[in-house]
Amino acid sequence: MERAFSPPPLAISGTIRWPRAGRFPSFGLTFALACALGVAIVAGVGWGTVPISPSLVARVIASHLGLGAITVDWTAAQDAIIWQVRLPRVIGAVLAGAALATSGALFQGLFRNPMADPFVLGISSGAAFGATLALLVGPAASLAALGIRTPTAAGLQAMVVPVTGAIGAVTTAFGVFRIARRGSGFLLTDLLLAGFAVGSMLTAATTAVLVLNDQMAVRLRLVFSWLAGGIAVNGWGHLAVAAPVVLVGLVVAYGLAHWLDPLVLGEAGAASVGVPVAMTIRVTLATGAILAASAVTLGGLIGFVGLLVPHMLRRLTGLSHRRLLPACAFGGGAFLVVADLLARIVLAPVELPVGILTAMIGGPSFLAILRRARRAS
Amino acid sequence: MTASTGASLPGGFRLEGLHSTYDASGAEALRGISLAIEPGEYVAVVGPNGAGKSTLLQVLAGLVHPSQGTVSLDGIALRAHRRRDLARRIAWLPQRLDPAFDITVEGLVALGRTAHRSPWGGDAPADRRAIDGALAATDTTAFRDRLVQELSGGERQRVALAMALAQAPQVLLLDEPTTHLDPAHAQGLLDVVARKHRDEGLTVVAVFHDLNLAALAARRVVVINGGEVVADGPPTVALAPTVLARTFGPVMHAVMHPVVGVAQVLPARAPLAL
Repeated sequence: MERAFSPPPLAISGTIRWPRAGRFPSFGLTFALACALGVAIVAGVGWGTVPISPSLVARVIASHLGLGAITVDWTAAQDAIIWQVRLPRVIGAVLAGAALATSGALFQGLFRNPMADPFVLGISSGAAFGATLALLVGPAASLAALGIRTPTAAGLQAMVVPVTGAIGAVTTAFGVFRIARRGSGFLLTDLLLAGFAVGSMLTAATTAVLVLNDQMAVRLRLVFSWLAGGIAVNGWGHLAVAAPVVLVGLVVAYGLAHWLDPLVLGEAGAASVGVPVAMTIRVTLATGAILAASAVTLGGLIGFVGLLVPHMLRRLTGLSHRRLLPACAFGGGAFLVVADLLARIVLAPVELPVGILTAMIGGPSFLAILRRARRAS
Repeated sequence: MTASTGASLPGGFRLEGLHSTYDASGAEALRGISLAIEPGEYVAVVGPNGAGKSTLLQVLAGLVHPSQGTVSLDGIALRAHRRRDLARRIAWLPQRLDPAFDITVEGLVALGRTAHRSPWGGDAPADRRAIDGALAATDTTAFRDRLVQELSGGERQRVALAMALAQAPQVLLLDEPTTHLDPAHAQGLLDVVARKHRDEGLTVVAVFHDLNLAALAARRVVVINGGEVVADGPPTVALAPTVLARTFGPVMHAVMHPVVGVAQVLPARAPLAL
């Protein structure tokens, strides 16, 4: 018995109404979002207990990047605050936001469903569980990898967390895909319930690991605030693993764009126009999961960014992933930097984990998108 | 219309001892089909519901792999072709195209160019020409910016055909292309297919629910029942009263078309007129 494509069951998902396709020029949109990202970075670095003017922020960054001859008229302390402390955190938010938004767009294209998102599908929870398991192996170094300072930080062991996080995410992604799949399609309810069930189990397992391990229990508050979605980057070293992984992930995602568009026809339809469907599914699941896992190691469980950002941008880009994915990379980065800034401002001087803020914006939006999706199907 | 089809006209199939099973049950959809389809031929496939017509078409499209037997396209096993190469040669039109998301007519037709484009590059002039040509051939240029979801059944089917034509295929596989259409729209769609077949030597294999349309559209009709070929030949032979009685039961009455002069069938009786 060999059958590449089983016939899809009747009434599989109906037509899910995406926002109507726009005709915004692709380059113009990407450029506008890149500018927005630049502004967000400057604002994110400038705001803090010691406010720094945008022009100073821009000049310090430019001088470190070697852009033009800039006379140094700032103090070493200002330099350290901008370049050593604040910028790595903001860049961490950029990478996490870009990774989450791109991951969401990939899963939405693959599952043909606007509700798909690494957080909703439980894939972020899989990454968190994998990362947490690494804490058991080598707690001190692993905590350092999450940006939680301990005296015995760094070393090769800091690599363990991103790797186990990625393994957890990829395993979860393939698992949820298998569970939710019916024939060669996905019902909206199957997808959401599979993600919910798997995510709940993994979150419970993560909590169990944290509570039952003595060494973890001591640092529970720190680990919890990471899990709740706090950008925990406190130096360039922390980005050494995540940054290349995210950048490679974004490039691979862009390479998949060409094969993701025809999936709108279903798997058999996509294959008939030339898409290597099995390979596309595997690479998309793995790339989306690894991007989500990178975001988790940078900032814990930040929900709904992968849902909100592609949803907003699709109004401007239409269905084309070639337009959508670069827009998500820049737009997602800018979105999370602004959200992180807001999370620092709203209850200042107390910092709210940004995941709590995105959940408060994202939850209601999720329900609104769900209502649209249900009405259409 | 298209820039990328070669000058030669291949597109012939050889099927030998083809078996295909359904998913889980293990029941056979095809039970030993052997068939030769010549390049440039127009073959209509008919048969009762569940006879295996759609499965046969999906096997030809390379979407379903047979559990036994071989399928080859121009002498090379279908499985040996890469998906992308196959899509440049074979276009498959399912019974009904239901894009999962809102998509414009032009966007949908452009998907037909997937196998011709580079994954990293954009639209080449050849792609633009193929898309424009396919829209023109199916008379759908006027609503290229409309959403596929907003079209009527007849318009939607023409757009689906435009997508298949944009693939610039050598073989067109149609799965009940006219089932949801009224007679005028059905005729219009089949006219487009017939023109492509006649002018460009496209091989056409079309599954028909309507025996009369099959007889009018194709010079060769293959009748399938229970996963086997039970008749194969010109409409007069394939739709002979004995074949009809064996395949569909004693419910058909064969006649000649008064104008065109091909075999046609009528229901044998009125409902309840026992």
